[in-house]
Amino acid sequence: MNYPVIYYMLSRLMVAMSVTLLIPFFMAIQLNENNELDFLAAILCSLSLAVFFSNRGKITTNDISIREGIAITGLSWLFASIIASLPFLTGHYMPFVDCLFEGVSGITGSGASVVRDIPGLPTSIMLWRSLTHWLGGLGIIVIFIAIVPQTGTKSLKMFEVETTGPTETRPLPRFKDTAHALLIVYIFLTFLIIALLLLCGFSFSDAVNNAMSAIATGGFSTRNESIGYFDNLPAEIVLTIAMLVGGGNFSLYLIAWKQGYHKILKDGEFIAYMALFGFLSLAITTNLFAAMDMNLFEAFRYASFQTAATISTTGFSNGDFDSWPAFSKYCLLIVMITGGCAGSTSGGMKVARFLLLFKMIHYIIQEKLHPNQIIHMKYDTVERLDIVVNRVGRFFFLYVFLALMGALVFTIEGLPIMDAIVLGFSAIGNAGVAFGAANDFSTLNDLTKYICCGLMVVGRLEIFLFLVMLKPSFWQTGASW
Amino acid sequence: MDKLIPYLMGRALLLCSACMAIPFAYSIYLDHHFMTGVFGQSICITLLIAILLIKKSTNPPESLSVYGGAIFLCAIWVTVAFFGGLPYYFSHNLGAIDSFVESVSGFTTTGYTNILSLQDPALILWRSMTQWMGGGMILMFIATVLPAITGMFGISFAMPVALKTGVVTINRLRKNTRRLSILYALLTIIGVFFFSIAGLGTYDAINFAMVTISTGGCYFSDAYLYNNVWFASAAIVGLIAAGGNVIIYWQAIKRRQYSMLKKTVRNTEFHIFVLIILIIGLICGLHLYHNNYYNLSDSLLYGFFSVALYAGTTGAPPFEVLSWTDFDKMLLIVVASIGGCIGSLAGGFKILRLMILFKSCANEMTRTIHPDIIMTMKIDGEIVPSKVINRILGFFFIVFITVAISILVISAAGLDMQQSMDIAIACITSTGPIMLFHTSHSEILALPVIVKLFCCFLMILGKLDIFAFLILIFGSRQQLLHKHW
Repeated sequence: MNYPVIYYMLSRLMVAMSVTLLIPFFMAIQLNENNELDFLAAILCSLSLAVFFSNRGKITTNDISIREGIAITGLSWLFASIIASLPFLTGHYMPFVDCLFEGVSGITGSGASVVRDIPGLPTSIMLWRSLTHWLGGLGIIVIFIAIVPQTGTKSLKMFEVETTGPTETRPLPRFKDTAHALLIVYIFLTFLIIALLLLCGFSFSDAVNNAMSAIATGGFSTRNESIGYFDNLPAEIVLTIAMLVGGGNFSLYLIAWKQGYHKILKDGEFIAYMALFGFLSLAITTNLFAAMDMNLFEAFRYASFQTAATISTTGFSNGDFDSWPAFSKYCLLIVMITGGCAGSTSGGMKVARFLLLFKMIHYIIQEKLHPNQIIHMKYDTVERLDIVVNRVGRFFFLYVFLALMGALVFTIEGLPIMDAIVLGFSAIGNAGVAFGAANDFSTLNDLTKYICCGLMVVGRLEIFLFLVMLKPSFWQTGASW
Repeated sequence: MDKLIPYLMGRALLLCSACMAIPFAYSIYLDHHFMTGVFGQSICITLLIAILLIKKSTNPPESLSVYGGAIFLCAIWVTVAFFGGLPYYFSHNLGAIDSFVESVSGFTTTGYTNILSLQDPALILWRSMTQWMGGGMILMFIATVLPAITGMFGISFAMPVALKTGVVTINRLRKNTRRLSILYALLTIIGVFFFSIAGLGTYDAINFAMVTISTGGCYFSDAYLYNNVWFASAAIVGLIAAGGNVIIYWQAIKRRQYSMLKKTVRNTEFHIFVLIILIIGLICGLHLYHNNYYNLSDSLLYGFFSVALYAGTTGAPPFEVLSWTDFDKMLLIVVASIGGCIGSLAGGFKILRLMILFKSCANEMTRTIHPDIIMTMKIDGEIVPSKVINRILGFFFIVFITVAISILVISAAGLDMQQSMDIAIACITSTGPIMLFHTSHSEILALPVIVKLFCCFLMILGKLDIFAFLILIFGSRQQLLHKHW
C-alpha cells in the first residue's frame, strides 16, 4: 500500500471540495444570509485536512495499483461525505446524525432528505445540497481526474474502479480525454436542463437546484412537496427526460456524439432500460387508472414521472405515491432495484447486470437441455465473460443480502417489515424513495439513519470494494500483492 | 412424449389411493359412514385413473430424458394434488378450487389450511398424510429425478458418489423408492415414539410425527403445551432430523456403512443449521423477553421452538406468533427463506447453497485486488466445481426474480405490499403460517381464484426447483420450433 499517493489524492480532493464550498460561501455573502461564517468554517476544516494530507502525500511514481485505487475511491467517498455534511453541522440546522445523513445522501446521489422545512433553508445551503449531488454525480474521481491532470497513465485503474457497472466502454483512446469529454457532456447537459426549466417558468434558484439534482440523479428538491409543488406539466416532462438521461450511460452519449446517434439505438442495455421504463410506467398507469380516482392522462403523468424518478434512482416526486396501490409500489420497488444503465450517475443494480444474469440463466438451461452443445456467451465486447458473469452474480447476492440485513436492523427499531425492506433497497440503491413508515426520512430512528448512511456509501462504492477495505491485510504497507 | 411419464404417474396415483385406504379404514373404525363414503369415492376414482394410465402406457422406455423429467416433475404434483383434494371436495368442506389449494399445500408440505377448524378425525388424518406423502415424494425426487434434471444446484454435490450417475431409469426409480419409503417410515415411527414419550395420545403422536417429519406442520391440537419442555424438544429433534441431509442417512443404511451416519452430524452445513437455530432462537427469545411478552424461560422456549419450526420450513401452528413484533416475524421469515440443509425435506434456499455463495463472495474479494487470480473453493475438504458455483449464483438470481414477479402478481389482487410479500414467501418456501403474519384468514379465503391458483403454482415451484420449470418451458419452446433437433 502506497500511502503517500493516497494522501496526495485525498489532499487534492479536499482542495476541490474547498473550492466548491466557495460558491455557496460567496453566495451567502452576496445575499446577506448571515451564514457565510458556517461555510467559512467548513472551508477551513476542508483546507486544514487538505494541508494535513498534502504534508504527508507525494507522488513518487506514476504507479497506482488497484489496491491504491480502491483505497482512494473508498476514502474519497468517506471524506467527501463528511465535508458535505459540515455546512449543515456548522449552521446548527439539525442534530449531528441528520447532518451526516443529509451529507451522505447528497454526495452519494440518494436524495433522501431529513430536512423538514426545505424552503425555510437559506438559499446558499439549498445550493450546497444540490452541489453535493452534482459533485457526487459523475463520481468524484472522474471529475477530479479531469481537473487534476498530473496523475498519470495508471489512473485508468481508478476509472475501472469508479465506473458504475460490470462493463467498461471507452469512447476515446486516452483516458484523460474521456474524462474531459465526460465532464463536458455532463456540464453541457446541466446547462441545457437549467435553460429548459427556466423556459418552463421556474425561478432561477429552483431551475439551477433541480437541474443539478436531476442530471446527477440525486433527488434533493427545493420544496417540501418536491416537484409536485410546482404543478408544472412542461417542467415535469423536462425533468422526466432529464432524469432518464441521467440514468443512461454517459459514455454512450459521447460515442453517439462522435459516431452518430444511431449508436444509441443499437445499445442493448439502453433499449432494455427504456423498455423497462416504458413497460412499468404503463403498468402503473393502468393500475392507477383502475384503482385510484384518476383519469388516464393524470395516471400516466404521475406514473411516468415517478417511474423515471425511481428507475434513475433520483427520488423526485410529483404526487403522493405513498398512497398508491401495492401493485404500483411494487413496480417502483422493482425499478428501484434495477436502477439505470452502467456508467450512469444512477444507483441501483444497473440494467446491464440484470441482462448479464438473464443471459447466464439462459445459458444454464441450454446447457442442461443439450449437454453436448457448446455455447458461447456473448455480451458486447466483454472478454472472459464467464468470470464477469460470476462476479455479477456474486455482486447481486451481496447486494440483496446487505439490503435485507439492513432491513432486519430497521425492524428492530420498529419499522414494519416491508417498509424496512424497501428502505434497505432504497438506501443501497441510492434511490431516496421509500414507502409507509419510512416515507418521511426525518422520522426515522438514529440507528436506522446511521445504517442508511452506511448502505448509501456501500451502494455507491460497489460492494466488493467496500468489503475488500474491511480486510485488515488490505491496509498493510509493503504487502507485495 | 415419453411413455414413461404416464406410467410413473399411474404408479404414483396407485400409491396415493393406497394411502387413502388408511383414513378410509380409520373412518370405518370410527363408524363415520359419511366419511367412509367420501374416501371410498375418492379411492375408486383415483384407482380408476391410475389403472387407465398404467394400462395405456405399455412397454414404457427404460429411461427419462431431461426434458421428460422436467415434465414429469411439474405434472406429478398437479395430478397427485388434484386427486388428493377429492376427499375435501366430496365431504362438502370446500369448493373445487379450495380443495385443490388445500391439497397442494398439503403435498408441498406448505402447511397452509383453508379450514382452521376441521373437526373430522379421518379428514384430519388425511391432511396430515398428504403432508407426509408430500415429504416422501420430495425425498424420492431428490434421490432419483432431481439430480439428473437440475441437480447441479448443489444437490448432487452434497450427495454420495453413487447417486451422481445421470440417467433416470425405471429400475433405479423402483429400487430407490422402495428403500426410501422404508427409511422414511422408520423415521416417522421414531418420531411417533418420541412424541408418545413426550406424553401425547397415539392419534396426536402419529399426526404430529407425520407433520413434523415432513416439515408440513399443519396439525392443530390442544396438545401444544409450550411449558412442556420435553414436548418442545421432541419437536425440535424431529425437525432437525428432517432438516438434515436425509440422503446421507439413506446411503448409510443402504450400504450398511453406519459410520456414514456420523457424516450427517459432522458436516459444516449441519453445524451451521444448528447454529442458526440456536443463535436466532436466542435473539428471538431475548427480544420477546425484552418486549415483555412472556417470562424469561417461556420467551426462550418460544424463541427456540418457533425458530426451529420455521427454519425447517414447518411453520408453527400456534397463533401467538401473529401478535409478535415485526422484528420477530422478520427473523422467522429470514430463517424460513434460508431453509434447511440440502437433501432434506425442508424448503427454502438451503444452507449449503448459501455457504457456497458466501465463500465465493469471499473469493471474489480477493479477486478484486488480484484480477487474474484463480481460486478453488473447498467445503468439508471437497473442491466445489466452478460450474456448481455458477449455477448456484444463477439459482439465487432466478429465485429472487421469481419472488419479485410473484409478489407483483399477488399484489394485483388488491392486497397491500406486506401481505403480498408474506403470501409469496410462504408459498415459495413452503412455510404456510407466514401467510397469516399480516393477513387474516378470511382475507386469504376471499382472494380471487386466479391468485389462489397462482399460489398453488408457487408452492409447487418452490418444491420442484425453479430450473425444472424453466427447462420445461424452454424445452417445449424448442420442441415446437424445431422438432427434429
